[in-house]
Amino acid sequence: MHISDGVLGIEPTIIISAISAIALIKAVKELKNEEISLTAVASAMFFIASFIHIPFGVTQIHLILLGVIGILISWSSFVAIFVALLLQALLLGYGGITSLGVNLFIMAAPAVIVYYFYNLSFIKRVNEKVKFFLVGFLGTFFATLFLTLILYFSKDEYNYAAYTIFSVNIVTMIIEGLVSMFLLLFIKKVYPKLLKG
Amino acid sequence: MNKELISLVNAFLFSILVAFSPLSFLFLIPLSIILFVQKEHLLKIFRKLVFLNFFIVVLVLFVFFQDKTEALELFFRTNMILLFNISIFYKSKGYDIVRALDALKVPSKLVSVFYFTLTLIDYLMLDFKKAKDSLKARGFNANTSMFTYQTYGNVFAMIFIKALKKSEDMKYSMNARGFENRIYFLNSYKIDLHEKILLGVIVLILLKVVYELFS
Repeated sequence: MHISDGVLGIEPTIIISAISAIALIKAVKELKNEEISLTAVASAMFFIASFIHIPFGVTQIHLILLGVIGILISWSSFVAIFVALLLQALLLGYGGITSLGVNLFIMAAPAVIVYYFYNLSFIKRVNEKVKFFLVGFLGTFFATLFLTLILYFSKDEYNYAAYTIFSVNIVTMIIEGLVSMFLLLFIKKVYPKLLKG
Repeated sequence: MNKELISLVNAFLFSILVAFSPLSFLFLIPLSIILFVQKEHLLKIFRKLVFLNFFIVVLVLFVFFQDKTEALELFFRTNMILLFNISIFYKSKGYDIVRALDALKVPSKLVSVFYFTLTLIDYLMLDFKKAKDSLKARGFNANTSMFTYQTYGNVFAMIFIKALKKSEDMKYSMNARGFENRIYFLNSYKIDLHEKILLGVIVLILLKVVYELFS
């Protein structure tokens, strides 16, 4: 789900990075001292999720946990994911430095969208399992959608790649939904304080 | 300017240079310098590069059927940047990046999140490994089933809660020592000669590209 350096041209990179930078500044300004530890945990979880492969048929997928991060820390997702993405880019070679702003938008914007979705009044009345499934599913859905749209509109040559990436990731969305559902059900049972915000 | 900051600046400038300007043989000069410095680890670095090429090759293949030149350019561009950055931070454990950000006067809250995250990554990795070993000992076999996804969900939730407890303990311990949003680092001021040369070469190439762009 990461875009490497050199894939996008200068215009989309600057525009999307500027949006991410504004959101990151807002998130840092609003980050309270007592929220630093939870933000760091979310960031570390996002970082290590890329190492953990979940089997699906003959292939494997790795989690990103954007929905879970979103409902736990809302706008601070921009801080947590920025930290994890920079570390991933420099230490592991995932993504890149010039594409950091674009990758931040692709990953953190869905987390914030899921946060607002989760807090909608009609969603509060939905069955818990369905709601938690949607948290995981929608996080990955929006991330894939943003990645696809950015690739699609940046260069004509990326059109087919964009369609393929979206199709392939439908499986990831479903598995993310299921794992997130079990993860949140467990948290609800063992540490309910966390989900009350 | 300290050593860590120079590495970060070099990585940033080289990435910008290669990502957004027409490909040139000149880009191979800084790349050769950093590969020469890391000559003992070349095999491991190239192995990592091959592994990281999975997504890039898929994209390059799609582009190849429409525009061969564009595809080749994309391949070389992304690989040059990747090779440079994984070489420059090959020995890094991440704490030097935090020091570099601190030297860059990044907001202290962000630096604190970086520091806590790095500490927690090691802790979480160890915890996840323990959980996996424990599952193996009980005969758990990961496959495509609801039971597997439930197990992963529970394991993730468990290590998440444990990490939260650990980070809260870290916070209390730091608060007891007078932590107020800011972590103080010991910076290393010894800058290696190759880092200065690298910075000089990259800046010169960047100036040449900018000059050609406006002339």
